Amino acid sequence: MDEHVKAFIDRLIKTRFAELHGSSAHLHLQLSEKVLNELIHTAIESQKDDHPWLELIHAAHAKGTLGLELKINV
Amino acid sequence: MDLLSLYPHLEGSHGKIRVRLSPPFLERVCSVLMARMHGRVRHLHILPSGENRFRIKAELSNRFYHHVGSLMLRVFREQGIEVHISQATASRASPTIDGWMDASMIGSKLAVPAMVATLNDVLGAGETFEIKKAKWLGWTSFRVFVAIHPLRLLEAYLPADIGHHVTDVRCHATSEAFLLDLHWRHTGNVTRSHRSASNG
Repeated sequence: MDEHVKAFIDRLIKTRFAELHGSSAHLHLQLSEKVLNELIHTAIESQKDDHPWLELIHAAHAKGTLGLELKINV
Repeated sequence: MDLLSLYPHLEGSHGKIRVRLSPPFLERVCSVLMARMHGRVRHLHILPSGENRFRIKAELSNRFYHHVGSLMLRVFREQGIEVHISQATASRASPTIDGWMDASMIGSKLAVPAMVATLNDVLGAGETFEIKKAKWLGWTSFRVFVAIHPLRLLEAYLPADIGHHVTDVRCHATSEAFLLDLHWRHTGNVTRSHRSASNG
């Protein structure tokens, strides 16, 4: 990616898209089993330092899909 | 975890997205574009100027255009050309946002085609801007009809094939900002605009 474009996008992300103030999104996400399991695994791993008891979990599997409604305002 | 790697598994998802492009943001976009133009354009400004119209100010800087510009293209550089949006929605079936601008003979024959060619080259998404035709209005005035292919841009710039799942884009310009309304539907298939498909 062009360095100017990359710097432009990095700045947008760092400022939490403040320059796009007034933008919004209304999303209906269909989360498959694969996505749910990836998210659960990542969430557990990322919280183990703060919540050591999570080490006790040996397996966590989501069954089925999940509909997630997201409303985002900038 | 790379969230974008999960995108292919979001089939069935859909949504509406509104993006507000304010003048300061557009200035930054123009700065990025100019940096990629390697000096071919000295100034580029895109400003919303009213209900479904906007103004492009530019100074082409190669030797010929700069020389001619000092004599005849001053208006393009200082006042710009106002573009009127006549067809505000682009969809998969009708993929262009259409508009028109009034220009002098020099503007319509030289400045506008040069600017369009430069922008298409810099954007690298095929023919994003297209000159459809020019209609003589009388004396040295011409009305130039242009078409913009927003889906090609989104397909080129959004990651993880997200742009291929945008079904339509509506552009609304006011005196304060551009509002872009996008509909997105993840069908699982990758839908390419005609030009993107031919470009591979």
